[in-house]
Formats: sequence, C-alpha cells, structure tokens
Amino acid sequence: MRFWCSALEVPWSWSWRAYPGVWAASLAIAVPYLAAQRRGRSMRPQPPDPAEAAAQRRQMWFFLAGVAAFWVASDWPLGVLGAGYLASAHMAQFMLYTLVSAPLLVLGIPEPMARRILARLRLYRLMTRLTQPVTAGLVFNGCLVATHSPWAVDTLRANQLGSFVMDAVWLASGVLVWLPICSPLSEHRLRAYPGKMVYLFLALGVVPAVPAGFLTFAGFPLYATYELAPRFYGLDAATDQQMAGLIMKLGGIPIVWGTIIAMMMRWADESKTASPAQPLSPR
Amino acid sequence: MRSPRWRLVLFVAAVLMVAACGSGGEGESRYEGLAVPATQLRQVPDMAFADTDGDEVHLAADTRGQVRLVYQMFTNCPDICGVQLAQLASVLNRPGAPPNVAVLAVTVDPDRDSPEVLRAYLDQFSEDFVGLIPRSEQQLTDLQNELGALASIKIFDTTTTGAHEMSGMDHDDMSGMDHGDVDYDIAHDARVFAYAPNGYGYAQYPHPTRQTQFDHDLPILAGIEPDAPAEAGL
Repeated sequence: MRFWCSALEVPWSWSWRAYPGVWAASLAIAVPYLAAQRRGRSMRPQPPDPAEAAAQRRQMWFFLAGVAAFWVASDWPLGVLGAGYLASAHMAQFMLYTLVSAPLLVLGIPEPMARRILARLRLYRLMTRLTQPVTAGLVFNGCLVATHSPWAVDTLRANQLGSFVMDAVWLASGVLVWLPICSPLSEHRLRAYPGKMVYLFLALGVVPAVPAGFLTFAGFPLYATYELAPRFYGLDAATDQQMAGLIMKLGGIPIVWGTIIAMMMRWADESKTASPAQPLSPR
Repeated sequence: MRSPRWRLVLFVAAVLMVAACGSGGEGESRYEGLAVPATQLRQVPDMAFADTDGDEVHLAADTRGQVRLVYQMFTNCPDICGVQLAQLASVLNRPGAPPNVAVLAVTVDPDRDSPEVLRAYLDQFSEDFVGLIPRSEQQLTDLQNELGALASIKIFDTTTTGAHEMSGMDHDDMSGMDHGDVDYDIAHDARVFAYAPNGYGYAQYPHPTRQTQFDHDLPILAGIEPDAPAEAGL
C-alpha cells in the first residue's frame, strides 16, 4: 500500500489501489472545518436569520465541494494516471487543484473562521502581503512554471513524498491566486471589479499559455516520466503531451472567463443600484 | 504473479556491461545511445527467420543498405517491450526521419507468439515493423549469442502452477512442457541493437532511451555507406 500517488513502472490497470494519504489529507481539510462550523453554531446566542443560515449552508457546500475536487484530483484513478502515465492527466489534476478545488475552498471559509485561523497561526501580516495582486500572481505563476519543468516533474513524480509536495504546492498556490478575488477577508480582496477582472485575466489566463505552448508545440516529449511510462491504451507520448498543452491552454477558459463575465454582470447590477435612473425632465 | 524482478536484473546487468565496455576513455562518443567500442564491434547476424507472413527473412542480406534495429520482445511483455516499440514508432514516424531504417522485432516467446498474434501486436505501433519468429529455441539462443545479448529466461508463475521457479534453467530443461497452458513471464535483454548499413553494430539502446537519443543517432547511422569500413561509424 502506498501513501500518495507517484509514478509506477507497471502497466496501467483499472484495478483499484488504496492511497490512505489522500484520504487522510482530505479528512485533515474537511474535519477541522466541520468541527469549527459546529463550534461556531453552538457558540451563537441565537440562531441566524434564514438568509444568513442559507448563506452559511452554501459556504459549507462550497467547501465540501472543494474537498471533493481535491480528493478526485489526488486519488486513484486520476492521481495515479497523472503521477506516472499521462501528461494530460497530470494537467487535468493541476486544473482541478487550482481552478476548481482552490476557489471552492476559499469561497467556503467564513470570515470569522479565516480571522481566527490567521490570528492563531500569526499569519495575518504574511497573508496581507501575499494577497497583494502582483505578489499572488507572481507566486502562482512561479509555482506553475517551476512545477511543470521537466526536472521538477521527473524528480518529484518519481516518489510519493515529491508527488505529495507537488500536489500541495498546486493547491496552496491555487488558494493564493484566488484570494484577491474572493478572500473571506474584505481587506485582502481587490475592491474594484475592473481590477479583479484584469487580475484574473493576467494571473490565470495569460501566463499559463506560455508553458501550454511549449507542451503543445515541443518537438519531443518533455517529461521522461510520461514518455517512458507503459502506454495507456496505445496513446503515444507526443499526442498525450499535446493534449496536456491544450488542457492547460483551453481548460481554464470556462472558469476564468465565466468568472469574468459573472463579475461584469454583477458590476453592471451594482452600478444600476448605485445610480438610479433620473426621471426625464419635461421639455 | 508476474514479477519484473528478473527482467530488471538483466537490464541492469546489460547496462552495466555495455557501460563498462564503453568507458574506455577514448573520448566522447558520437552516439547518444550506448556506443560499442571498436574492439567489440559485431556484424549483423547472418541468420534467417520466418516473418509474420511466413516468408523467410535474412537479417543481413534482405536489409542491406538499411539501418537494422534488432529488438527482442514478446507480445505478453507487461511493460518495457511496448514502451521501446512505441519509442521507435514515434521517432520513425516523425517528418525527416531517415527512410532506410528497418525495425526487426524478434519474439523470444515463439510458443505463444504466433505469426497472427505477433503481427497484430506490432501493428499497434507500426505496420512497417518486421516481426520475426525463431524456428527453435536453439536458433533464438544462436541469435542472442550473435548479438552479444543476454539469454532470455522463462519465469514460471509458481502461485498458479505449483511449479518451481525455473529461472536460470536451460531451454532444453523445459522441453516437453506444454507452455501454452502455463502462465509465465520472460526475462530478456531489452536493448535495441543498432546496425548501420555497412552491417556493423555501433550502438545499443537499453530501456529507458529517450526519443531524442534515437532521433540524434539514427541519421548518423543511416548516413554510413553500405560499403564503408568498420571505422566509419566509430
């Protein structure tokens, strides 16, 4: 039994494999959250009003959906395929961590809980610096480029600890890059919608296109891990790598642009509310 | 249970052997594969095998003027054979790949690899790969001797047959067994033996060999004239 998914030099099989480290990590995220939610509810002097209760429930479902996305990305089969067989699965994992799991986790954290955690871990000042848009964008894209270099992939994916570190870096950098958009702390969020949209486009839409281009148009497979792995249903390494590049380039479009469009609509709504239509004056 | 252990031992031994031979301090090799030193050059075996159509193929005579990539494999190979063949297919399918390259895939498992089975397996990678079937275990042994390859060894599944592990036994010791009914693995030398058009084997490619290494070396090998002396490829 293995702790975390890493490259296996055996042919791919649909036989289920247990990775208790993935379950432990998923529980380590979900259980303290649920316990804190429960404690928070029991400490309230009076039950919340229906609207607030609905918002709390929505937040909890966001968080649990984020944990589920983390589990799907890390565990068998996607975790195993991504760790040692297919560059395209590796890229699908990256997208799930950074574009699905991370924003859902961030959306699921209530403000009081976030303040409590940062205070207890004495991380408030650090997070204030890291959530500066330029810093968050640079850290995320630095992690993206570093963890997709052939050296990093071939070194880290070869063993369980390295593979775990890579996945953890993806999730953490994913959380960081979404904080300026939807942090539970208002002072860590960008205030203006145009700023948010530009940030999202630059941080998650532009830079990832560079490594995606390398993967799509490289003359040869870049990663020894996937090039020399037993073939998955005859899919050759070059095609698999091109698919990985396309997933990186196109996979984020629905989420990034969907979010940008949602922000534009909200911005328009808020603009209407802020400046009600003036009655027409008679000529 | 199939165990890649013995195959792994043989690969490592092969790599170490060739690496030790190649580290003669004669300067940088022009090949990115394992370069064979001048004192150990061998010529392409002058032997004939049946191909998957039943025709006789002479390794030397029928592929004159071509780079011959001789690879021992078997269709039930759980891991490396498929990877090596996929690597060769990818490199040879690339635009600009030398046209005068013949991949000669010799099965080390003629009991299970019928012509049809072998053809179907190779066609997954390339229809141009030539599948060759030894007529006897002795012919397979002769080929391995000519190549300078390690002998292939059948490893029987002791958990299902109750048989003892037979690694290291001679082929003759296993004669009389009905191999078709028994689950076994085969440990074999996984090097691709590359012979230039002049017939000399200048380089070998163990697993793992990257596509870039094949892509670097094949044009060099293909550019050696058929009547060039042995030194031309060193």
